[in-house]
Amino acid sequence: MMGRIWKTLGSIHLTMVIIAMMAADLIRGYFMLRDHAHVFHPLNDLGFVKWAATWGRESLNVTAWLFILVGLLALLSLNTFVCTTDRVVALWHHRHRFPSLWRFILRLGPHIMHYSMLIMFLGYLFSYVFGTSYPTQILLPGRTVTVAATRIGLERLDIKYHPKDADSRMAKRAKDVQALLRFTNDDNTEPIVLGMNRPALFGGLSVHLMDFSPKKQSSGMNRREYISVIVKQDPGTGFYFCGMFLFTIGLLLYVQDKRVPAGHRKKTSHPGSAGQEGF
Amino acid sequence: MNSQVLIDLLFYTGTIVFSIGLIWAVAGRRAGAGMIFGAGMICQGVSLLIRYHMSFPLLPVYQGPFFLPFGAGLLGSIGKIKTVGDTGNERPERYHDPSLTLPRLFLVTVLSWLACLFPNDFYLPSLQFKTIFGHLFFLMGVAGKALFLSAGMPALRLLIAGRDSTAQKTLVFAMNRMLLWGFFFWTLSVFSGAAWSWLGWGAPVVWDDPAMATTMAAWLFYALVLHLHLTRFSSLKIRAGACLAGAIFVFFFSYVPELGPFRMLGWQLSGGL
Repeated sequence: MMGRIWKTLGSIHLTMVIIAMMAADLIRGYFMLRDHAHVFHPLNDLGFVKWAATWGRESLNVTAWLFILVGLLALLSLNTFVCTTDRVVALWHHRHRFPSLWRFILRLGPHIMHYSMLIMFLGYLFSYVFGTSYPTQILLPGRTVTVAATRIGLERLDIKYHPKDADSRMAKRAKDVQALLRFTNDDNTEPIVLGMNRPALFGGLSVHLMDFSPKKQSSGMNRREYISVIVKQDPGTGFYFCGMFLFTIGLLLYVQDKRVPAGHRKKTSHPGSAGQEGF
Repeated sequence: MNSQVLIDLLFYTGTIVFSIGLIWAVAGRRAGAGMIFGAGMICQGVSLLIRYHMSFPLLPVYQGPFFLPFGAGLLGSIGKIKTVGDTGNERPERYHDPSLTLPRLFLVTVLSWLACLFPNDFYLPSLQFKTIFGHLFFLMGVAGKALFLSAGMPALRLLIAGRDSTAQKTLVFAMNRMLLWGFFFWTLSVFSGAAWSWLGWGAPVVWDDPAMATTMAAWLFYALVLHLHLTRFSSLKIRAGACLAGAIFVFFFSYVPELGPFRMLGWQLSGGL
């Protein structure tokens, strides 16, 4: 009985069906996101669980595709785990058929990609279930805000501008911004530089710069300086970036394997060699 | 001369040169068409270099349609090289399949004209577009899209020619190679985009961008195509059909949304060309 369930769950045809359904579901998602972006925008700040209980439930006809996607993703994870494990076990049993260790490693490429995908999914799960977000924290020079028992203060704001004689569209517009933040909690205090696409990391928190002022250089006296940040406490980050890194390694192995002449591949044909023929 | 006018003029010149090359190829003068094609690539290549240089270190994020014809022209040659032999010890043999020249020129010309007629280059890049991951996301996305669209060309020829095609071996090789590298670049683009999104917005997915859904749909679709050989749906016809369907999907759901409204490129800047 368990064997039958395992076999059904690991079926490649089930994979096909799930992926096709996910692609179709995402096409519906495209239209929903295009026409009702305001419903999905809070998902960036609230996390999936809170969003599902509020916005998600309120506009079910608009958000249903996302719930279906999550369900299909869970099923695909199960299917991928079973299918890949079966093939890796078979591959291991036939490892002596490979002319070299390198050829064996190359053949592991698709399986590394599959397991990495599961690590990424785990990261997203952790992120959306256990992650916390503190959006739109306004920091003024010399002031502090307290987030998750950590005080964050803006010590200095340094904005660089394009010169007056630059391209007419860019003249006097900001070209770089750096903010010196001071983080303080019960154990530690530390100054960290924050910039655009340069988050500040401290004690499990990541602070991301979303907005700042003034964006344009002016000679006027009334120039209010501030930055707006989003603070994230996301336990999934390490998982999904680790998954992406491993997936990339698997992908490189897979591409390298496909570059080997067909004659070589046929010689090592066996049941565990997923991805060896056709493409 | 204003640099923006130079960019536009070079792009127009490249597009017109591609059109002449296409007419040349239709007339059966493939060798001449190849040279004209090369001239068009140089014009557009220079135009793109200046365009990129002007916004660098910020990313010209909404300008993908200008880069796509060049990408398709450059990467379309991926399918031209074939390694032969059962032992793998023979020297690589080059196939220059003339049946692929015409579709490639057709694709590049159509994409160029679409960029000229529906330009979307009037957005100023913001500071959040200043990261290496943004550039990787953009360039690899263009490469992936170009390869997926290009793979549709041999797929279409395979479907039309059927089993009797003498060039079948080359076409299958070209289609598979473009598909494989297209998936490679698309995946790395998605990962770079996720890294950029995390750095800039604190989450690997920005949920209010509809492009996210079609990007993932395309990725899943091509992942499915790469698994087809493991199933009973592994015939050449089905794989070619899937490649063509993928190219049509990428065109309508990933390329068309990036186009701007109908207007002539450079019209406002030069006061009408």
